[in-house]
Amino acid sequence: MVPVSKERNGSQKEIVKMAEKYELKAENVYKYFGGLKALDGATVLVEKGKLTSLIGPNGSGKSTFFNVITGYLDYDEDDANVQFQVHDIGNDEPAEIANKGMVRTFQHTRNFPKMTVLENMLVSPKDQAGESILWVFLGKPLWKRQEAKFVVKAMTILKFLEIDHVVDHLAEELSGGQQKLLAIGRLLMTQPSLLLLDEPVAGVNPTLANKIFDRIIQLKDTKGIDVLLIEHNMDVIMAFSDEIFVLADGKVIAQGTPEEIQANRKVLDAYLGESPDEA
Amino acid sequence: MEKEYLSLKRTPISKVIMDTLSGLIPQSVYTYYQKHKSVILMISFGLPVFALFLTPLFNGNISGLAYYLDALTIACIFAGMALTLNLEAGFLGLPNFGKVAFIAVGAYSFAIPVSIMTTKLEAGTLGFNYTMVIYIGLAISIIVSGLFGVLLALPTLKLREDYLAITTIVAGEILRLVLNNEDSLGGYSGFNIDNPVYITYDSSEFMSSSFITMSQLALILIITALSYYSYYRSSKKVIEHLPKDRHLLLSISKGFSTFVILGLLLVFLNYTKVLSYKALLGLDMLIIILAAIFIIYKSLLLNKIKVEVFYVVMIVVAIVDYLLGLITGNGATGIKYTDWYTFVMALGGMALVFVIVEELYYSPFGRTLKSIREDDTSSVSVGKSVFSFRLRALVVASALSGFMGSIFAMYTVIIIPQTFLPLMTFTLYIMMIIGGTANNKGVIFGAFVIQLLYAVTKGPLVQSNDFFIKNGLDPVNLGLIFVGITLIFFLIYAPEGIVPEHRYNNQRYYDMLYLNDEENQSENPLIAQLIKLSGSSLEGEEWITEGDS
Ligand SMILES: Nc1ncnc2c1ncn2[C@@H]1O[C@H](COP(=O)(O)OP(=O)(O)OP(=O)(O)O)[C@@H](O)[C@H]1O
Ligand SMILES: [Mg+2]
Repeated sequence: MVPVSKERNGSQKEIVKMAEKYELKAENVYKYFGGLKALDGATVLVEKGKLTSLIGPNGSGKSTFFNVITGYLDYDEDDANVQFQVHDIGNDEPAEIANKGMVRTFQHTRNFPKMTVLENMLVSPKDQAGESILWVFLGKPLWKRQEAKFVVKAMTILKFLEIDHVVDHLAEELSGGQQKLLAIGRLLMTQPSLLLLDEPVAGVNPTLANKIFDRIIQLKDTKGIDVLLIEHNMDVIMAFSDEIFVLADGKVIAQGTPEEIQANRKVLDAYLGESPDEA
Repeated sequence: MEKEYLSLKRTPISKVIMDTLSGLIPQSVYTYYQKHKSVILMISFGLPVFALFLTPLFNGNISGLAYYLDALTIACIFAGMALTLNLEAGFLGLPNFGKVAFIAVGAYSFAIPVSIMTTKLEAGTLGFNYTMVIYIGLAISIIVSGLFGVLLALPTLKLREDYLAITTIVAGEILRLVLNNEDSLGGYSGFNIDNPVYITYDSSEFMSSSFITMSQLALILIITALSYYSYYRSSKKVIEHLPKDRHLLLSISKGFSTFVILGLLLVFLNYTKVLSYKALLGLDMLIIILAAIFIIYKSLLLNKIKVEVFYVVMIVVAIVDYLLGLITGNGATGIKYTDWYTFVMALGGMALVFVIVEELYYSPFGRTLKSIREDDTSSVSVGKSVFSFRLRALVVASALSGFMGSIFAMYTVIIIPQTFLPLMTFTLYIMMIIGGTANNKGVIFGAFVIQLLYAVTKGPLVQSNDFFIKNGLDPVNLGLIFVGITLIFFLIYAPEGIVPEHRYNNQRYYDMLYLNDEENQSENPLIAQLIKLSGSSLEGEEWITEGDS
């Protein structure tokens, strides 16, 4: 667990100044699984308004990085300094982090299989009056109006993601790609400010993959929702990213624009070593 | 991970059997079965039990009416308990195998204060009457069992499902053993409560007033009509947005449920002497019968019948009830007043629990519970505090099972620790599984089928037949054997139960959409007040997308 040390974080003023530039600042994150150093002091910064990607070979610690900074796994070592907007989220529970506006998907898509697509979407909104037992009975006129609003919002988002035609189906009945879109849709219902997407287009056909990325860019540009994503699909990564972090054996070995990364010898060795032409 | 493994393991068994079945049976029959599965299962399990249950009536055994009342009372009590279990295990997927402990806590925490107060009352040192004694007893029992829920939840809720099951089952057994050995609580021989009603009311006085008079009949009809029209009038807006056949159904169901709730309230007030009316057997019967007709009307897919026909049926029932009251006269039924009282309490308790659990199920709270059952990690990832939801659901379920436990105590009068064996928990689970996990109506159906089956095997029909005794078979075990076979059947062929969870239910969300047509919602004084009190809001960032591809 990370102590909130004044020296490291600097003054309140500095935090605010940092937060103006960076949506997320995760420095010196360590995670060990037994003797395995899954994360070895990784530092990733997400600048506001830039699509940031995290790439690296299989097993380099990308998903572990997400799990640690979103609170699902504990930090090892006390050096970490994780700041989301103006919040120090090093000690927070996963649900608290999500409520602050930093939400994530999982590498294996997770939805609520035996609930309809619409219900899947309606679980997400924060501060629903009808989620308190007392208000279920006393505030019915209020939460019904809230529900009516959320239903419209959910339908709009589903339309935006082009899965509105399956709204009455159970989530488990959707195709793999549709399930990935639904997972993103569920996150959008929470009014997030930062999306962490773990391989959003793995196993999705290239046309749809491009479409999903178009959507992500559109979210960033029109809604101001920042995105940090993990992806193995180099075509889309190089085409859409503004900033790329390369992880290998738990360490960030390179950082820069797609052009810089493509030209980086270290990256080619570690990651694209065998077939440099493809990138 | 474990979950996936289990479901993979289970599917092949039922699938293989289903495939064999569909090979043997003509396709048309098979699809018909698939389509009407729940009605077919309901009839094929419910009908034989119900028919056997009714046979003593046709043997001319009128004094058996007390037997019917007894069977229905205990069925209602168990249905109420199974509903609270459904809230935890069905909606939330929390395997609480210590259910019986909560019922025991409810029963004891009702019985102890009530008998203390009764003793004081008889000595004349209590400032209030028996009605208050019961209310206070119920309130104490609800609070104590709710707190017991918190107590059990804090150490166990974070455990994995299987460990939770083991821990709760042990907690239940520990409680039973403590009660068994604690002499101040009656120990092994149990705790005796005086039923205050025995003392307050004179049965003969009650029986002499058990008609419904013409004026009361008129009153009931007026209430019915008023409930229908008030709903129809006041909610024109709702109705305008629905197709014609649905708007009739909606208005009638709303109007009628208002009526039944009013009626039950009236009956309750009657018994507790808050109103100065005399207790009216006919009135109770009427309201109970009408409620039953209404449920049949709604659930047995008779929606196609015209509303007018339904109202005519209701009026006919009311008149027949009135005439029956005239013909049979008083006391002919052989039912003791207190038994009737307990029955109304059990039925009312079950109805109350049903309404609460059903409201919770169809609320955002219930939806989040369901999402936690489906995938708790995913719920966390959208910011739901899983622990808080589990805790709150468990506390509500505990408080409600404590409530049903105190009605159980009223029913048994003497509560013995030996009643609260783990078998009781398992019975509730069987009722839930057979009836339909996560479907409240199904659970009530399951509870009634099983409880009536037990009643049949303990009842006059089987007991008077010496076939079983001659062959060395205790008829009581017969019920257990049947239930066991039924359970195995259901686990293989219909693991989702007789009435499966209603999964494709988006319609109710679309029905709410008319609310968006209102202008200036937050200026509506009621809504404004609610927003202020709940700290929630109606303003959400609207989601607008530019006209794109
Ligand atoms: N729960 C765990 N227990 C033990 N080891 C783990 C655990 N989770 C991850 N690891 C190990 O940590 C390393 C990093 O895993 P991680 O899942 O972060 O890789 P990744 O970069 O996401 O890979 P991929 O691209 O294949 O998804 C791997 O060597 C993995 O075996
Ligand atoms: Mg991964």
